[in-house]
Amino acid sequence: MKKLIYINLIFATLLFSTGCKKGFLTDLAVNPNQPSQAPASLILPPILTSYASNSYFSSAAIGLWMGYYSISGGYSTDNNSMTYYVSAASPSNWDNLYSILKNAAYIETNSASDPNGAYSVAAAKILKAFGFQILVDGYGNVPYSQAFQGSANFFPKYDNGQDIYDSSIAQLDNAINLILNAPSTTTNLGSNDVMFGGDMTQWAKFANTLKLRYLIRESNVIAASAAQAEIAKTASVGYLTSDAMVNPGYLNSAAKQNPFWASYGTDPGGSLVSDGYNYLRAGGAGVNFFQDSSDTRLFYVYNADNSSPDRADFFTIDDDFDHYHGVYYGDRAAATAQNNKGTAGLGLGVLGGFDASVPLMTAAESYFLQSEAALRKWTGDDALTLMQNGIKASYEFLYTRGGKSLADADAAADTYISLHATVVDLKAIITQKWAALDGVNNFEAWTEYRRTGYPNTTVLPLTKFPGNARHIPTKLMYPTSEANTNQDNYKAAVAQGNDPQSTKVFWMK
Amino acid sequence: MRRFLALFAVLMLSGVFAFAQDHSVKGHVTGPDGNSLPGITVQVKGSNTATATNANGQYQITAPSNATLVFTGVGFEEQSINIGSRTTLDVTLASSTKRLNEVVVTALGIKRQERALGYGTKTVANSELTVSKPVTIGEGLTGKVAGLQINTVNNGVDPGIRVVLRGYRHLNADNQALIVVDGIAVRSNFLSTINPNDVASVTVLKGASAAALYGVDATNGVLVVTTKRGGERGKPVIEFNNTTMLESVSYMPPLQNKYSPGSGETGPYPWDPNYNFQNPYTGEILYVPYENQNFGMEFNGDPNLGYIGGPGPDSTFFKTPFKGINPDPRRDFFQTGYRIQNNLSYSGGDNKNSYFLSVQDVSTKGVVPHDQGRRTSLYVSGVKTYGKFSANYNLSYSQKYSNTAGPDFAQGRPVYWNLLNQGANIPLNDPRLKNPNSPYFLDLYYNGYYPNPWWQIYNSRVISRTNYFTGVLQLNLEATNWLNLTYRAGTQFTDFYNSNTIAATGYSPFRIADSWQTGGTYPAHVNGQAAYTNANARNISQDIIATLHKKFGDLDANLILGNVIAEKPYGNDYSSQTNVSSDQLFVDNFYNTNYRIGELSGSHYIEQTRLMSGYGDLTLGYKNSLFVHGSFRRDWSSLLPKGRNAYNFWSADASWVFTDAIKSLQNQDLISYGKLRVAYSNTGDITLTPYNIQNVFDVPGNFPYGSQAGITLNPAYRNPNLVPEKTIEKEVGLELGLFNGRINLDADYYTSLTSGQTFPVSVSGTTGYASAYVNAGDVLSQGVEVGITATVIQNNASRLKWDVGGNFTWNGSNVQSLYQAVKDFNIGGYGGLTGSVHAVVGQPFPVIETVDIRRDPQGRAIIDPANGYPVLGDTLQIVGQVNPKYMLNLNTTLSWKNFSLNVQASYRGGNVFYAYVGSQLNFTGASEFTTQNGRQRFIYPNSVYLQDGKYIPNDKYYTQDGNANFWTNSAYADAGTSYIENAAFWKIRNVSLSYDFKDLIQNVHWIHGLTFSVIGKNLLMFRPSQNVWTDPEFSYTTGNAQGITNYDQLPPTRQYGASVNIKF
Repeated sequence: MKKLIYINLIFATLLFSTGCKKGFLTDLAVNPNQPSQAPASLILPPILTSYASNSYFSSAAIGLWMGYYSISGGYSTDNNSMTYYVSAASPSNWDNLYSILKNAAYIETNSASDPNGAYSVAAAKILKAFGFQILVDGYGNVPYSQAFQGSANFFPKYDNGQDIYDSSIAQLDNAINLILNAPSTTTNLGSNDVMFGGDMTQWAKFANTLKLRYLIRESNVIAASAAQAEIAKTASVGYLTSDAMVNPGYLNSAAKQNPFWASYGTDPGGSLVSDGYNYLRAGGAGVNFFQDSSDTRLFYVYNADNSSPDRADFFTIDDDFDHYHGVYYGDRAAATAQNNKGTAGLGLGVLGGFDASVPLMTAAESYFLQSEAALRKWTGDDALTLMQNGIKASYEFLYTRGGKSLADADAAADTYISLHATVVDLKAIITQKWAALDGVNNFEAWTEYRRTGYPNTTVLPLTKFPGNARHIPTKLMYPTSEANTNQDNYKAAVAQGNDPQSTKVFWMK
Repeated sequence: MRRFLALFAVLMLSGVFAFAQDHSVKGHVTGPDGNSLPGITVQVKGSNTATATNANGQYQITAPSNATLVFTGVGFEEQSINIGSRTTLDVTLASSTKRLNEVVVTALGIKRQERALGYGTKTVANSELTVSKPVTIGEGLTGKVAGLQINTVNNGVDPGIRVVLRGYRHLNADNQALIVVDGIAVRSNFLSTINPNDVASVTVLKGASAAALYGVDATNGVLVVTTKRGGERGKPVIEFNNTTMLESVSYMPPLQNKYSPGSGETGPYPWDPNYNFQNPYTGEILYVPYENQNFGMEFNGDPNLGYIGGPGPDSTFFKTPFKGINPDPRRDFFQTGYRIQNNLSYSGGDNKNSYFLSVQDVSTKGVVPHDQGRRTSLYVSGVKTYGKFSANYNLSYSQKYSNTAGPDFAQGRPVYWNLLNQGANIPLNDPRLKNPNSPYFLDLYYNGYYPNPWWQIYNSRVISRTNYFTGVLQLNLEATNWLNLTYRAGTQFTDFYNSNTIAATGYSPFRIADSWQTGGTYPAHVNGQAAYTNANARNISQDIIATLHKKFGDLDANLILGNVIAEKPYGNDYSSQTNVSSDQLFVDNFYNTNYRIGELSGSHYIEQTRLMSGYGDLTLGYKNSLFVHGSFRRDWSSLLPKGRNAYNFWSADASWVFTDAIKSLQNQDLISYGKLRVAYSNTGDITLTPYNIQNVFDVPGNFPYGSQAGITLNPAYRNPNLVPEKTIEKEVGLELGLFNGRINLDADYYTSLTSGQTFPVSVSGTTGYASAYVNAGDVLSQGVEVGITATVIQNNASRLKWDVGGNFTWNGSNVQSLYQAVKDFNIGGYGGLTGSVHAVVGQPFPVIETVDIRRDPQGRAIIDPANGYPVLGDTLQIVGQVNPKYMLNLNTTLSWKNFSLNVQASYRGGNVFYAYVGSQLNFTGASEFTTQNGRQRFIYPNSVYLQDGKYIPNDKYYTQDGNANFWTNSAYADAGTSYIENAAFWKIRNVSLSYDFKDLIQNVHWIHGLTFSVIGKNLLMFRPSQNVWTDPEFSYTTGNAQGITNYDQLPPTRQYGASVNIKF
């Protein structure tokens, strides 16, 4: 048999050497249908756009918990959606985030060797820190150090949330340094940067504000001196003073509209997305907060009741406070009684329009973070001014999306501030932040609630659903897909706590 | 006495022939497969005059008129024929069942003695293949070979065919056998393209051992198709055949014609307040004349209800009697189709050169009105010899065309679905419904929810046209008496075009306003749609083969060395596909995508692969009774990365003809032939589709935004460390000829373990990917194959012969492991089934998993006392394997004088299938099944209820409803198990009765053969009584996720017709 093999091989080799060119086989391994390499400039736009679409920011469930929304009486619901129930079933948010992060990790790794790739690497690091904060804040311990390794590791271990925080803060510093020290030949991100249009100063500010968000989140568990030292390192960069918003050039065609407009606004033909708009109604806590202080942001965060009078054109600004009604979370009786006609919907300031940009982080949030840092004496700035700036930025954001001028926004903000925001304390800052985040970043509002307990139950009462025993969740549950695909690590993580009603993320008191 | 008679006859004949003149008779002797037979002795009966056929099967002998010629040869049955006054006499000899020196075409076209083979093969000759005049060779092979499962997964004008040998082994890759035509691998759909009359034989290489020389493609077994060459007998032969078969629906699921349309709606008729035909207690409307569901009142001929739909704008109704129509209008919708085959061939040649030409046209009209198909093919082959050099070639071209009804404009449903959503009182063949110009055709069509099935017959067409071109050239050099060199080059080009156009349509303002208040939507205008696909593929392969043959005393050695440069035969070495579509065409009835609004959808895909290999094959024979054979092959594939793209495959087998080897067994009649064989092979398969070793980027669905481009990593991780799958197959076999060959038996036992399979496992999203390709998963398959043929009666005097044949297959598969902790892998499914088809560790592969109703430990249904309905279970359960465990085929031929009757029957069983049609028919209330309780409340059969922790047999809780609510809304309706049926069946696949007019034409010089047959196909089918739905051989796919049928398959049909064959 062995001899046969040799004969055969000689025979075959002879034929190949005469008949085949080099690369006869290997040339065909290259996929002609899909590229296997891609420049950072092409990967960046979907990362930013996916973050913009990621349902976390405007998650309906979290919006319900935060008192921003209620569910129409015209739709049947189960008790779970009225009682802070968290299901482990859907892995989509988890998988979406990791999938976005994988692309950022790809840029971080592949552009590192590009002598002109500093900006791409910096943006990738910032966007990784941005995503991992959402993961840790949502789930607690999650895979970080062993994620994205392909066949080298299909079973990534879960890292401690604190470790991920520390690493992310270091990476943000790293990114800021890359931007500040980039050689002049560095490739500008240009229009592929669908957030800042290639303005790296804005990226640095975004990174620094994100770092401040990280530090503030840890405020209960780290020493003030440590926070002060971290802030001082990058103090010269400054913080966001305008909104960090994504817009790839949203179009009025299917799948290309602003994602929230596509869900709750109008379809490309201009018809109301009825099952979106009419399903999610205004929450009692949100509406009442604005009404109680004659806060005109009400007209932008919400759209007047469907029957105010019967509306033909939904997305116009109605400035009559009496035309807005919300239903408290869990109050099915009220929801049924009001049905759709007697309740408000989501407003133009939040939804913007089919081509509206999607905020990843607003200037308002930046000011509220700075205000809290000042309040904690981490910086020497004036907490009250910064809080007032945050309120004003919130007005500007909502008014301009509602088609009003900055001057109108500022005038209305000044009136409101003079009456309702003259004293600063943690409760005031976080309550104002909660108001500013309504429909803008529900997830952040929930996270700050978990950290500070504000807004308290006078502003944000617990669910009105009869007999409810649950309270506002403290974490999201790991998806069941992890139990199937990453069993051992999942079990270890669950052993440390996975109960949405009692397990606390590391930064919680 | 007998001797005396014989002598008397000879004397008598001599007396007669004393006056007759001797003349020369010549002819051509062929075997049952149509091949020329050299060395056949031809003797004039009662004389010493004898000759033998030459190398091309030709003979010439001088004999008196009316003499009888006797043809004898080793391995063939003796045949005696009276020559009359003929000067030409062609003879086809039947194989002697002793099987001494039969030659079989094995892997790579290598011809080997049957007795030397150590593995399971079976050759189906043309005569056996075409006995029932099949349109495709897939049809012709069905049921003829143990271990071979051929499913026609659909019907209609161009049905899909699935060919599997020895069950499934690949979890995620194709399990279909490789098809090789004259040495080149072709796509499996070529089985339905090639003209069966052009095929000389098909050799089935059942397992990996037999097919090991095919390297990476050996594991699924191979069908080696050898096409015909010329007749080689000097004079041209023209043969013409016409087969005309009619086709009609053989059965549909039993449909009820007792209950009227309705779905349990309440409230008064919106348009007919004067005749409130309602249940006074429930308010339920008892007849809803626009309903697609049929849960209304019993038909009673009430003249007040004698209409369908609502009133038109002129307030008049479409009048029709309030009763079920007989024959059922839904079955009556189908027409009688036909298949007409016309086949003309011309062949001839001399000793050195031969040619064969054929033309075939198959014209098909489907059972669905207006469905039609056509296949036209041309085939040329020839042999040319120049001394030691010979050239052998064939070229074929065929075009396949089909034009069938496509999906409707509203929900994209097929015709059968829309048909099943009509009531028993709807006169579907009434011109008012059938005529496109009638207002009732669409606008005032009675049904509020599903369009008139005639609409799509006229307005939605799927046209497909495929051109196949195949060419093979083989050059042969007899270099020395021990060395033979062969070069072979072959190619196949395929060009495929498909279009689906759906007409623009719309409703009048009357209907748009939903004047009948059906709640349905009736758009004013739906734009036309057009989708076009163009694809082409190309295979090219070349082989160089050296055969060395030498005898050393009792030892006979045969060594074959070869090299192949070829495509990966599962697909093509090059293929491309381009799709273009728009559903927004704005010029009505003009199907060009340039005339559209909105964006054009399109895609383009190309694929190219290469395979090179070198192989060696050595056979050692000792005293022509013991044979040892080994083969080795090394493949280099473009599918895997450099450095790991070369793999070795090998096999070894032995065959021992013990009836020749053992003295005491020689020359006795009880066991006239006996052979033991054993084989072992180590083969592999690269089941990876091309381009799966590098991660790639996609354009996300929302991109581009105008000029803003973006790409993102594909969520499937491409593993660069993959290696080919490995299959170890072991096989033992026994072949016996008993009672001097009257009974022949061929039995096999094999096991095959396929391990390290490549499939995408779900991985943690934290890896950044949703799935990853890995090498994992072991599937063990084992089976027994038994083939038997017996000549029960053979009486030459009365020319009566009765042959009975049968084959039995048992195949058991078991998934031994999957990946790490993964115990269950989803193979695929169909949206209509809760659950899907799975590979599960410890189970046969594949199995169906679905949801059952909840049951007590004894298997009785647990009902909810509140409504008497069963309760739905909450987990997926394994309900059974989808591939048949047992297959039994019976084949019998009874011939008497010039009559010959052939009957072929098949049994399959041990598996289950899902009948989505059942679920749909119960939902629409059209099935007779839903009337079993007279639509009244009933006690759910074999049910229990829970009381004080005990399950009490239910004798008191009636279902809260026995009508629409139960059949559409209960756990019974939701449970997948309600439509999981036992897939067992018996089918009479073919019956043919033929008459050979040889007596009539024996004095007609210009006609050499004339036969006439009547043929019936699928005349009868026996199923378990529970399976009222459809043919369990059907499937919604030709992929691995078998066991699911739906409304994309038409109802089963039967065919019957006649065939005439004439030879000049």
